[in-house]
Amino acid sequence: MRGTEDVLVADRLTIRFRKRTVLDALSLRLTPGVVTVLLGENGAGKSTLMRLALGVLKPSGGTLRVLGHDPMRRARAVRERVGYVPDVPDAYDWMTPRQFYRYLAPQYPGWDGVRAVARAVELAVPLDERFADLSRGQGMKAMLVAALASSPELLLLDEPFAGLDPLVRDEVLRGVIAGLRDEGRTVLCATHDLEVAARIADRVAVLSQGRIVADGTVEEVLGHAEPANVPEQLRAVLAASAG
Amino acid sequence: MTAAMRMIRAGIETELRVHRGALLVIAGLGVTVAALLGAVLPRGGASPLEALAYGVAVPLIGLLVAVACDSVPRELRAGRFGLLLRLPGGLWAAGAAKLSTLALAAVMLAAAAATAGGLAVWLVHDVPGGTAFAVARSAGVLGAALGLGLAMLGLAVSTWLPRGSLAVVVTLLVGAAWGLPFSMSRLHNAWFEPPAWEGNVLALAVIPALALGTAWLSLAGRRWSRGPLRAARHGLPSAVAGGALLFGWHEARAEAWDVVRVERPDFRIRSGMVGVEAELAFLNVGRGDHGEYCLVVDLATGLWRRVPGTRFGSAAGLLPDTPVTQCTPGQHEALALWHQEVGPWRPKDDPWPWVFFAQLIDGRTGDAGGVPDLPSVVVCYAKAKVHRSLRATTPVRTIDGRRAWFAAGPQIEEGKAWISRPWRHGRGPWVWRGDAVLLDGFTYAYDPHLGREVAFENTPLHGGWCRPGHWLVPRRDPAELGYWDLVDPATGTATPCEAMNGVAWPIVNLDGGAIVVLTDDGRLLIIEPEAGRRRPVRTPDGYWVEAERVDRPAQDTPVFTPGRQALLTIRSRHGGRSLGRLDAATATLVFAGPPDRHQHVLACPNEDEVLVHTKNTVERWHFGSDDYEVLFPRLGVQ
Repeated sequence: MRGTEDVLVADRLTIRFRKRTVLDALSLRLTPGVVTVLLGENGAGKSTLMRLALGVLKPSGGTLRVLGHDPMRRARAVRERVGYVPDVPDAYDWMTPRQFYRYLAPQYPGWDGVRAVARAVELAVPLDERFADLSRGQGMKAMLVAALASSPELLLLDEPFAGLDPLVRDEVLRGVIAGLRDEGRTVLCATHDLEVAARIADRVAVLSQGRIVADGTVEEVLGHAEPANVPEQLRAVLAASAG
Repeated sequence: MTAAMRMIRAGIETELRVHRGALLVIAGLGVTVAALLGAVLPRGGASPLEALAYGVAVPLIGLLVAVACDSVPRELRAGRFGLLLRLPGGLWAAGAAKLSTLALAAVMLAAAAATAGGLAVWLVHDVPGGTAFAVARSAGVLGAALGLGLAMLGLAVSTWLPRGSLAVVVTLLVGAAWGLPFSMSRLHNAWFEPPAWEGNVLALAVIPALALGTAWLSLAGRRWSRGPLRAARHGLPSAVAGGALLFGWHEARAEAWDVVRVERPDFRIRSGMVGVEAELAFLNVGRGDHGEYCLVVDLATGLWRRVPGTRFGSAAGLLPDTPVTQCTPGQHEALALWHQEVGPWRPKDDPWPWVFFAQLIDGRTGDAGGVPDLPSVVVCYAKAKVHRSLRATTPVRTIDGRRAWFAAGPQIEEGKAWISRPWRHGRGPWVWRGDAVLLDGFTYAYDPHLGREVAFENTPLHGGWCRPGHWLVPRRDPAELGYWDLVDPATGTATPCEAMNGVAWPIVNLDGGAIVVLTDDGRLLIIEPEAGRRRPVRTPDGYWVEAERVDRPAQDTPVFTPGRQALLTIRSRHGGRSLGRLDAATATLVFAGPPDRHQHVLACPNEDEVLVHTKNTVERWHFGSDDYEVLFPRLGVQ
């Protein structure tokens, strides 16, 4: 599905957990090759949207199509073409990254083990140390390598930089940016780290109270701000949406 | 290898790595317990199969269920559930890997435990290797099936609940609800027990399939909508449906257990006795090879009633389940001896797993009550394996029909009953080669002609034929086959008996000391051993009777007409007759009943007719005629 068709199309997407509405008639489109940063405060529904995109959750209303498929009905077809990086490494503690990649390989038809190892070496991921012994940053880089190893058409980054100290964050970010260089990949990155957003975003969507309150290119959302002022402008947009 | 198979293989490797400690413990425990039970419990009276089944099944079921029940909560605790959910294979791949691992573990561990148990039985109990491992194989299959079924159920339940310990409790509850009908079908093996294959299909196919379906739907529920509640909402109906299916099966079959259907093609009469005046018959009946029950039949009308069953009675432990043998002290009463298994978990120093008890069956009401002269419960001392073989024991009577010995010890003489000496070794009391009754294995016999017990171990009497006066004892030397001695049982003195040369089988003692025998070449003769006379037996047409022996234990029991004419159960070589009345004075054998029909004699009420039972009927045959009359069951009579 590499063409001009939108990679993700959400139309009035709604999900409720008991009486709490997490996403409320959300509409969003991701165009191919665009890095979209999803901004929102904690609990705004960023992770829920990603789980919906993976077919892990069932929407309460509206429609969602990922790479042309309904992720609930064609979960496997969608997941094989979508990479996902969680906010914390959730691999088996006793596994090494090399074992973890071997465990994942049968799940993805497009898995490229050689490339995964090469990328891990490039990012200084210790391939033969157990996840339990890796630092948070090393673990996140290992998960990023895993997400990119299947050459996904859509990469979902679920707050991968949260809780990382600036040095480690920059390290991970370099890995992300290196991954983004490949094949004009479509990315949806949920974060509330505005500096990260400013560095990677082609487009920004601001999520508040289950709805997209601002959506467009960085310029459209922030106006013609100076690069150094982009984080400040984003913060202002976020504050306005929260207010 | 397909992607799905590679996925599952990777999952299995992961599961084995995660659970390797638990699996090693299960393997060690299973092997140890099976070996110990295989070595120890059979001595305590339980059969090796039961011991091995418990030994293999208990550790497997217990620990595999524990592993399975903690399967999903463990992933949740470790924060890996998100990973399993978002992979392309999703929970399906993870679930398949978990199920496959459980199956693999159940089969491998059951095989290891059963092999250890089989080895223990073989080494400790000195049984043939083939037998030991056949038993072990059965126990292994049972353990693997039940362990796997419950483990799959545990996996399903683990998706409903946040904690593994809760899942264990719920799994055991659901498993108990599912297993209840199954255990009922096994424990209450009363009348019309379902055939064994039904129980096997339940254990090996239905329960695992239900558990698999429940596990699958529960996992699917987890995926479709998060949370244990949703998983339970999908899995619980499957569990309930499984329970309903099993209970439905049980109820359908229970009806068959409770209702005696004499018209069924597999209805079988095992043995029977007739009241003194030949008006009532007391029959041990069953279905095919399963179940035993007692019926009282009015031979004049064909009306019959069942001795009350006790499947769900409060006094089930003491009321009849399986009649072993019985006799008729009067017209309307039969003394029945029943046995019931107490259970395999008896202390080692109390080797008796069976309780025998005697009851008097009232032929008019069909009720079974206590016997005044007998304790209501007769506890005997013997090994279980002996009594298993005695389930087929037939009634034992002496010549006068008033004295009987039961297999387990009680005697009745002229209507008064008492308990004979308990016996500990070898085979039980048995009419043996004529009129003597073995009382203590092959050590003592009761000779009614002498009126006392005779010890014959290590004497020439061993293996002989008991008769008034001298016993007939065949020579043991292979070079002297067909030669017999007359032995005085009081002194052990032996003298050659030339009249018996060439005799293969003594059949019955006649009044006055003569004996009916069958020779090597199939001739029927009457021999007077002391006088040396031999007379051939002829038919009324003057032909010699040529026959073959019918090798059935019951045929060792002599039966006479009221006029003291012996009834012979033989297989004639011409005409296919099987029952005849011998007039000893004229040496004439008059056949009765239709040809080529197998029968057991019940009673001979007069000189012209005989009551017999075939495999599923009670009939009246007439001597000198092919005619017969079916007395039970009769069409339209219940």
